[in-house]
Amino acid sequence: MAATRRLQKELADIRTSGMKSFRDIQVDESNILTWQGLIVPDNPPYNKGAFRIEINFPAEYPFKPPKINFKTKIYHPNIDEKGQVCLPIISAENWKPATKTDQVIQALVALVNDPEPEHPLRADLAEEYLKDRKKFVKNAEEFTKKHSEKRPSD
Amino acid sequence: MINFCCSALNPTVVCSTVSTDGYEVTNLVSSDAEEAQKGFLAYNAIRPPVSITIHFICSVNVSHVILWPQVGYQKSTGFEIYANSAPKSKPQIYEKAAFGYLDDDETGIIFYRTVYYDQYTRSIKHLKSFAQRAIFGSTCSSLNNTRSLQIKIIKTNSSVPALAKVEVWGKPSKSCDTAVQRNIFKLWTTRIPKKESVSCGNSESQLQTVSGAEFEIPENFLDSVTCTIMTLPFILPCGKFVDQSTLDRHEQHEAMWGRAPSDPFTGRMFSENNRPIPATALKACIDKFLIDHSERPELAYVPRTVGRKQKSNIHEVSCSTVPLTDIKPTTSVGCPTENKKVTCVAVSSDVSHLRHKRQRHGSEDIAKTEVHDVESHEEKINWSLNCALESTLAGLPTYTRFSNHTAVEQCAACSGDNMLFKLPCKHFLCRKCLVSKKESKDFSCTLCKASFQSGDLLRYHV
Repeated sequence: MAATRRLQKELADIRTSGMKSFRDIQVDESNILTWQGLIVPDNPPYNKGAFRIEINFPAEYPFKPPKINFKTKIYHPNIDEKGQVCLPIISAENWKPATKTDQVIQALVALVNDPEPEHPLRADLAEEYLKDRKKFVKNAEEFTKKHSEKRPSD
Repeated sequence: MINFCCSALNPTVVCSTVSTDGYEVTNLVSSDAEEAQKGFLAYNAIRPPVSITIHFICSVNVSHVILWPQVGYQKSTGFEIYANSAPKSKPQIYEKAAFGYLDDDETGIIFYRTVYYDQYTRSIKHLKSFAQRAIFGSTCSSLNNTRSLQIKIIKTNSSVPALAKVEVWGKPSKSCDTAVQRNIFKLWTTRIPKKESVSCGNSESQLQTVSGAEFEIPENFLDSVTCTIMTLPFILPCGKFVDQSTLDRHEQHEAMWGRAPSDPFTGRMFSENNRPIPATALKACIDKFLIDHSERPELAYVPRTVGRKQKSNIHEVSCSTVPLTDIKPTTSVGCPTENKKVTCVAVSSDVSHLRHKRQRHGSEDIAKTEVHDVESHEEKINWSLNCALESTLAGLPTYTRFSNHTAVEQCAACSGDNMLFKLPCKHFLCRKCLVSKKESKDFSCTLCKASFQSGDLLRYHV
């Protein structure tokens, strides 16, 4: 499979580089096409927790983009209740085979830190974000406390 | 891996203090063997810290740094390493990368990066009783692009600060121009023979470890998109190397969105002046590597355009139909290995011409010795032997024959001569016609209708 070698290399690179915002990467030995990891955002209101995501690579990777799903519920205008996220860098028509997974993750972390209410998946949250920021932050903080995972200590 | 302190790569070195006469800091990178042996010794009133700065020919992705701290009875026992990624013209920002102290019984110190641990342990096997210190992971960025390295002697054994020899091993950083990288590799490889003649024992043991369990495909042979070994490497306008299959697949996916073929890295569309170019030099290197390592299980499923070692055995067996076997018992007595080579080269004329090209010089010499051998037995061998010999020699490529040959080599279907492949029936088809044949699932020669499989095809190089 064409994807295997590239994914092995990317995984090794990410593990050795030690990304601060993406931790605890778990990959099943028998299936390198599915990765799980913890997103650790820096900006409020999400900096109180960590969010587990799953990255699914197609067998045609790197010619087709990976898909990202949030396993942890998150109160975010760009991530819907099912955990689907709209990230332009991995949309099928924008995808470039040279894009590395760490770039994708960085783009994802940036999106989580700074929501883009102009292209929402959840219109209600986007409206709240634009019109009543305080309320949004309060709701998101409560939601994060309730649902998110513990942040890694170091 | 390259030692960037090697004099062939023109490093420059400066020191913060004055030195003892004859033990200048430039000795550390001198091409003169005598000077290089002396090493560096600070002026005898100088006390640590002393910093020595080495500027490299290009940005270096540092793997490890080896220091020999003893000159005569003078020995430095504490070192710090700083790395700087800004070019000479810009302000230099040195980031502390590592430090280490030596015990009395240790003869040197190695600073290594955990990322390259495997490659590094292989290359330092010959160094006995060296202290080893890891380089801080946080200095990754400046060590991936090191323009200059500062070695600070921070402690001595109540002696004068000394440094006998320094080696900085690494690769040209990825940010370097490909042309620069190529030149550096050339500089490095042209200096290697010198080194081997000096330390034969070392290089032998190194060779052994290379052929040992830790088998690794050189990184520049890997496709930068798929990370698999390339079969037909192309260089992109952005300077990266990718395989033709990658280009084809990328083009296919781009076409799904109605877009013209483009660079997978920059997204810029290809044009007449801006398009991938076959990397022939790299291809030759990859082919040589594949032939040399064809017995490796890791490479068993790598698509290839050249033959493999096992293949030549098959040809040897198949040559039993040729009257050449009559000669074999007589000539093979003296030089069995040489003879084997000759039969394989001479008979397997349908093994890729690339291989022929490479072996041609060698095989002609061997062929001559065989001729001589055969003539010395002439009284015993009958006239049929001469025929056999002639037929054997006819299989060998010669320069005149070669030029005659080219006129015939054209695609059987379209008469073009662009990227020809040889079929088992010895007819040629170009890539275009083969692709169209594959699409119509017609695997037979256009001329003689002999069927073939895609594995039988051999790329023909003019």
